[in-house]
Amino acid sequence: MWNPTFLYIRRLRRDLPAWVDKGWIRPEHQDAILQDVRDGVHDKRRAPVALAVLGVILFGAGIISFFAANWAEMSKLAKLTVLLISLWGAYGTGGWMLARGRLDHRFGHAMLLLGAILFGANIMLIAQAFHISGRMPNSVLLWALGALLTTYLVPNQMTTVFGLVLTALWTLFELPRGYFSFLGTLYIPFDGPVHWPFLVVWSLFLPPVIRHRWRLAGHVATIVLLLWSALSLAVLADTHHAEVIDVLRIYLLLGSALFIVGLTMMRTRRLALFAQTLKNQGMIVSAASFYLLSLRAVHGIGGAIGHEHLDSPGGGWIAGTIIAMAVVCVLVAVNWWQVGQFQRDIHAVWGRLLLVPVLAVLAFSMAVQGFSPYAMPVYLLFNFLYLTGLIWLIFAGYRTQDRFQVNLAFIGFALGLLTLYFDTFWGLMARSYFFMGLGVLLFAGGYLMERQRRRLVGGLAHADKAGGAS
Amino acid sequence: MNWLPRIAVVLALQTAVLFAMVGIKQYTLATGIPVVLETQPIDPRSLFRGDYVRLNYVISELDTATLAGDDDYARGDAVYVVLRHATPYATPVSLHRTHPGPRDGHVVIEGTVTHTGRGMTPHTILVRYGIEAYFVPEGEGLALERPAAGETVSIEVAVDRFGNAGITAVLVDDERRYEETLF
Repeated sequence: MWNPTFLYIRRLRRDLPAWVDKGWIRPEHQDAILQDVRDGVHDKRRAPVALAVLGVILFGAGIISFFAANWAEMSKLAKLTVLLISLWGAYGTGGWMLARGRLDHRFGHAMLLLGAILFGANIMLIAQAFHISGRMPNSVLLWALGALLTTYLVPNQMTTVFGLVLTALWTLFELPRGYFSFLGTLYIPFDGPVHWPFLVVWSLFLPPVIRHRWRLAGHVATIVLLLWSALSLAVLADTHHAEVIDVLRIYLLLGSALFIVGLTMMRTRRLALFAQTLKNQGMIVSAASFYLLSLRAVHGIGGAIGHEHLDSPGGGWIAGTIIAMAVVCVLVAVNWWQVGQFQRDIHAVWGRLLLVPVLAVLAFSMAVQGFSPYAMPVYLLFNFLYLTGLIWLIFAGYRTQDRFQVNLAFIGFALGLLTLYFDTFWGLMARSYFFMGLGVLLFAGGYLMERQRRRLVGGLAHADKAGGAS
Repeated sequence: MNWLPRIAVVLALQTAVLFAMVGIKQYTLATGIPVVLETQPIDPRSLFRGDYVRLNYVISELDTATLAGDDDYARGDAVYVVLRHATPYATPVSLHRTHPGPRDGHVVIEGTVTHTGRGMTPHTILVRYGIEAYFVPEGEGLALERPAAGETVSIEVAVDRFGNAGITAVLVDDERRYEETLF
């Protein structure tokens, strides 16, 4: 198959001796350069590996459904034998592939992933064959621990990602039955204590992720942690009869903290790989929290979410918010001290200055919560800050050439604009005019915003090329 | 790096876990004292579901006020229920937070409290014993779901000296419809 990189390698083979003759590179570096380019090609061959992983997952699903369909005809001993042979077969093939070394080692890892999947299938099917009616969360935990064991003994990213997903599944299964009324219409079956054991198992996955610098696994680990933290805050809110705004304040600060940690990690060589992930996920959490805080209903001003009058925040929520504020301030100070040794960009200075009114408004909203006359000013302040924050995201994203940041800000703008329209005109206009106006807003606003976004992102692409050429 | 010894360790440990699951259950069935428990529907429409039977026992819902022993339980607590051998069904006598030890004419079964007073009468607790599901061959679950008028479904379980229970037989009108064997 034609591949420009192979042509490049061929050309390098021809050019390198000439460059050595000219004294541009040392003779002993020729092979290292060629090997580096070959490794690059090797790493880019992801499609076959992705297909292998997909194949492994489908094969695992096929085995499980085959057993499920032919269960009745088999004796218990036959069931146990077949299940164990499939487990041993998957691990054995994986080990054989890794030991041979000739095949891509990732195919061997794909077989280990199949082994990890089959371990869980064996737990469930043996429980079924022997009528073991244990707790479902315990089965999933056992499955996750099996994946963790593989992660430590035969390090591979696929099984680690799978184990992290199982850990998320475990914490979801641990949700006690009940009805949770967070955000009014959203019902999550969770009204018990926070599932703290999750943190123990989740943190056990981190050392291999950091040690082997697995970016995808790092990404999944952060998402799983954010999912758990969102559920935990929601549980705390429900258990202690808190308002939605109490939770959102802390989640906004949590997102900001992640964002700042990501920025700070960019300066640490070993952790730089995960920095962008943390920064982006921190941005998403902060932007989503800010968006929700810009809604009228969250402040008890009516609408589909929340109710007409907010209660004052409890002592625990006030303390939690103040601690979260202090953590953010400390992280900003650390980042400021670290960045100060290099440079202090104008967007970074503005970002830190923006944090002052954000913290002030958060504190003010806590202080006046429960006093209805202050609801509207607090709502307007959050909207003003949401808008200012989005402008800063675009400004900083453009300065740091971060397209994700610019795109996120435009999505935030579009959401904010639509929400403002619904909030303001839903009750004021006749339905026909409302929908006509909405159509015009979507068409014109979408066109203008997309034009502006493309101009900015196109500018970044142009800057990339110019940087690459120089 | 030689991966084979490491993979062998993974395989050995995971296989040990699976064997332990089977072994513990078989120990209970082999050494446990048989008692017959009365079942009752959780919901008349969903007593049996698909190809497995979801079992709810009379002893799944207990009133701490009427039974002797300890009274105060929270969700997730272990509870040891002393059952008296009786005809046709074993009946609960007392509840304990720790294993009360063997007693003549009685067996002690261990359970986990899944719900307490909330939404129920104040002294009621719901208990899970790990014998709430029984898998039957495809298509036969529906036959058990709708027993003929007057037919009764009861479960014989074996309870070992630690309080673990395992289903040994499904009885329809006191006749063994399904019986557990070792393999």
